[in-house]
Amino acid sequence: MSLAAALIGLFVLTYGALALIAFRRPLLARLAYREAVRRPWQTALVIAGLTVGTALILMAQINGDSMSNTLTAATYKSWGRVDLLVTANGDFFSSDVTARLATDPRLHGSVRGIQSGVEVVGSVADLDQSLDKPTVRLIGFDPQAQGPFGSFTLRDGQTTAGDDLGATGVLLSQSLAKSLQAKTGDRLKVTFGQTVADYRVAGTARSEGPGAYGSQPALFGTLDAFAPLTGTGRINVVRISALGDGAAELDNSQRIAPAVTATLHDVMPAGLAVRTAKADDVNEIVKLADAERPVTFALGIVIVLAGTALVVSLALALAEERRPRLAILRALGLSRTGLVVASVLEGAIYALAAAALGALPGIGAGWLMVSSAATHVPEIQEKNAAIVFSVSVEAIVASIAAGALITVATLVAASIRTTRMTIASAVRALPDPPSNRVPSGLRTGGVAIVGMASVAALLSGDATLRLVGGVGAILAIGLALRGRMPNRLWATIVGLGAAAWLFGVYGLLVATYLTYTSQAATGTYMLVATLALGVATLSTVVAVNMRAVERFVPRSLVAQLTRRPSKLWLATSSLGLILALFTFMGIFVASSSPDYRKDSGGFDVSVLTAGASSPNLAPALQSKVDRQLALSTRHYLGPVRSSTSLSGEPLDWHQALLPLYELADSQLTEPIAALADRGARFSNDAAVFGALKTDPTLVVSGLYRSGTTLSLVGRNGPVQLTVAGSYKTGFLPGIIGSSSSMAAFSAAPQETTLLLKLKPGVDPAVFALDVRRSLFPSGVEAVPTRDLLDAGSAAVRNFAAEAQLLITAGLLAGVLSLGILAMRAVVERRRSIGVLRAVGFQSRQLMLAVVGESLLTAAGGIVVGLFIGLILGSLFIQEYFPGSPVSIQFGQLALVVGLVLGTAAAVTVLPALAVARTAPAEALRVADS
Amino acid sequence: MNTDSMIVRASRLRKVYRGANEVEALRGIDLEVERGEMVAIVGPSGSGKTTLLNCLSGLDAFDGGQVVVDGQDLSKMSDRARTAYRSKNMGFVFQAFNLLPVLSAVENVEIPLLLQNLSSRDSRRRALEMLETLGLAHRANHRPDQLSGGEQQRVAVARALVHKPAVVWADEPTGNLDTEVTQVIVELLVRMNMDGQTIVLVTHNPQVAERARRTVRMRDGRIERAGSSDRSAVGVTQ
Repeated sequence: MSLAAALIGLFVLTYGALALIAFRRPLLARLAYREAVRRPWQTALVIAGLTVGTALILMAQINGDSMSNTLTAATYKSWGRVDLLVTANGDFFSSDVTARLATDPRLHGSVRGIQSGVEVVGSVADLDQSLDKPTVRLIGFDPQAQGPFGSFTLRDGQTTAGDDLGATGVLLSQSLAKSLQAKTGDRLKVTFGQTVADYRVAGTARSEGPGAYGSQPALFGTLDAFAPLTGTGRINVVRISALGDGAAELDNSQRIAPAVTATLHDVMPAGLAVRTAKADDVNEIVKLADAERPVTFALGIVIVLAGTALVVSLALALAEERRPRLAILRALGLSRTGLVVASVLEGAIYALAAAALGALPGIGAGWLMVSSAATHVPEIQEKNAAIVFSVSVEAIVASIAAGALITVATLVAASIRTTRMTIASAVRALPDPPSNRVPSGLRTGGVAIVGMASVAALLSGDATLRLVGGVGAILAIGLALRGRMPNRLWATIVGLGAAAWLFGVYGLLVATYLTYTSQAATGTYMLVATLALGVATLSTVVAVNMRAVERFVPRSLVAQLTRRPSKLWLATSSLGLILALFTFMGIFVASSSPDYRKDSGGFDVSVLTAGASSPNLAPALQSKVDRQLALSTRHYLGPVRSSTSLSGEPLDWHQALLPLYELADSQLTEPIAALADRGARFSNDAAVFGALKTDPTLVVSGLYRSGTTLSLVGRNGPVQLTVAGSYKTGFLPGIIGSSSSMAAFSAAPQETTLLLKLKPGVDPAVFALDVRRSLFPSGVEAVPTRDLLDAGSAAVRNFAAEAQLLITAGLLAGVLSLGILAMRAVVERRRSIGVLRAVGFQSRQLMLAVVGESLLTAAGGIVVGLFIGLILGSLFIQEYFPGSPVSIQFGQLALVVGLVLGTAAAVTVLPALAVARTAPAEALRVADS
Repeated sequence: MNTDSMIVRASRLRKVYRGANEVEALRGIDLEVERGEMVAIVGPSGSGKTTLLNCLSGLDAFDGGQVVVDGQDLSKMSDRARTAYRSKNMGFVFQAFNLLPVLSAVENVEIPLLLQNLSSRDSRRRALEMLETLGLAHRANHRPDQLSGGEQQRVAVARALVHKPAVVWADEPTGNLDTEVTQVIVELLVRMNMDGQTIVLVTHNPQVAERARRTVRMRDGRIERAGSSDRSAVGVTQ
């Protein structure tokens, strides 16, 4: 059973039970309904405050579903009808293999089609448009066997299986045609390694069917047409299409793979391998998309927690206002359980309305989030995927169910607290007398259970459990000691103790145990747990010590705030959570932004050309170059497996196109640029490159983080490499190694990457364009390194923008909640306000008190949020970017703090005006009506 | 039903408010109320009148002694049992009326009946009958904020009586009312008492107290003296 189904089931059960109670106890139902509809504006405010949960849950759900569907659809599309690939680890082999497979009786009835093919990477120049493009996939196919794989649909609607292309006609993929601005009939010059051949554009294939194959900029030609490039009768891939569609097709492909392997064994005992390419890619992409969910979910949890604090605050405010009414019901014989039920019935009405209304902003926020994914999810960019915005009825209903259940559960907990009262006092709206209860056996047992559970958690092997267990143990010890010292001191010691434990253990864990790259989900949850618990503990310290402000302002004006630590704690925690997250993300973004000079080693432009020798720049261009470094480069197109990815998840075999940079021994003496991170065993960057020289299994990467284990398929089978250090993402975005570590991939044609440091005053962008023009038509790519680094950090920036959306929603809810609570406070404290006016306080003073109360609450949240955000951000960055300085955007933080304080003051203006309008006599006389 | 003639028996009742300064609000009270009696508890502010009423009625817990109502020892009951007992056997009238503002007069009156799981139809019928008895049938569907103070208190009395409780507890039932309306409410209580309803009330008002059959005067948490009245006498009598 899926989580959504379980949630919906639980929702139906809960509301069904509540409906049954309402039917059997009409008095409670009547009270709940009448209270809910009594003050429509108040109800509207409460409902507005409760919409946050559903909105955020639905947003996260829509984002997850859309990403998964987008990437899965793109993966299916990129493979067309091709399910299995037979390759010789990049080498060419005879097309006889295809014939043997096609005639093998073991495969009859299982496959849709079998086809010989060629798949290499080269460069393409459009001689008529004077534009060229390196790193293009050159895809050769057999038109006689193309039928089962589908026909190409051209831009004008015509279709072709390729048999009418002739010896020089080729089709361009949509992205390549766009890049070259190519038109039908244009002359093309195609380079593969050292070989050059001329072709003519026969048409542009729509990005569907075989025309979408590969997803990359691609050029499609018949095997005969490719013969001048790759050799007659030689192929490097056999494509096999399995019967069925969708999941059935993937299942079939996995089922027939062993039979294909067996046939290949008969044909060529060694050297050929079969891979269920489409199934592998689909599985990995679904895994990748799912890997994003916990991160979004965890961020959502923080905001939902803040929203829950708002729910509790509202419940407490309502209960406070209605205390005499609740007490009279108790006096008349309604049990405490009955009172809880009445509160929950009323809350269930709000929760359902809020959950249903929350779906709308949830869909809106989800749409914003999914739309932005096109620019920040690397896999979407890589696959040029069309965004599939997925909003299912199941997701909406599940989110409504989850939002309503969270609210109802919170209200149940809050009601248990609010129904505890001394009836005799509450009936007359008097405060409860001081409790003289001795710790009950139940409470002692509870403390013992918390203590034992905490010890068990501490002894467990799970890091998150240990973290939480430590806080639990401190709380249990604290509860056991309660009453032996003043409450304020007690709460301060317990709060500070728990916070110290959290930060100490988190720091220790990120330094010794937790590696974000290999445990993204665990790391995220641990971070969220630390953040939430840290905010809770420090908010306690702030709330119990807020009394200090009584030294500076009249006590009677601030007592409602300073003498009610529970309420202050809720508001401080709510705002503190959001601001802690905001501060953390700010540090993450600032610290992950590239330092262009350092991260590029001072090189301004990267030029990629075909061939082993450096391109000869025109003298006018060469004169602008201060320093240059040539790196031997090859493009690897094939299966890759990695122990981590940009999303932090390990990836099993999947198809990838990777540049491989081969460094000569002389280039291994010093780093090309400063490494962004390196393995713990290396004391400096030079040590990393020294190790690369002696250990062929070690590489450096501008794509994978240090510690990642990579598997690629070389000439003699899988090759395992370990990333010893990494450049800032984007600079040399592939794998960098010694000539011995790259030896297995020497079958791919050689290219050259030229890194250029320009003389002062030369514009890298203009220079790069000039290089492309001057070297046309040899298929040169020249890009400023700043653009490469920007592209590399775009994922982080845009992820942060996505998180920012969440945080803004939370911040809005947090600040609005201050306004709602201020409004509630005015209603709840009408008598107190009357008394203060009666004894001589000016209405202006009371207005200032209302606004000041909101500002003090906001200030408490800001202090807690900034403190925790800064500490956790610093600890996280030290682990995520070892050796990198922690950057803090003080300006941005100051702006947000100012905005929060300003908004907190602004949203309390209305309640303050209401206070000013309160006539003392009327307020004192007011009955509970 | 208990056949004991004493419906309320309190012995050595003690109540202490703890806090910065400990206050002993009830210092060993012994009190008995006869079935069908109307007792007025009087005394200066802070003497412990309301505390005594709250402890006798089970609204508040006490620290020592015993309270037996209609044969049931309240001190031995759990909160849940005491609540259930209250809903069945007690009625309350408060100074501030304490009607639920979201319910109409008749809906307020039927609360005790619904809490005893009487059917909605029967509850409504009996609540309307009670309102009619008190001359409020025409105001049955009005909310409390649409009623005068006197009408609100009459509704509160109706709510206290509708389920025929063993005892009605009234804490300053006329404290918020003018003289004329006070008279109406007192007459109402007396009439109910004459019909056999046991009533224990706390009051500051001598005119109210003198209509009780017996008065109990309190001072500093102790019963100073107790007396009886034939309702015709003026003032508190020995």
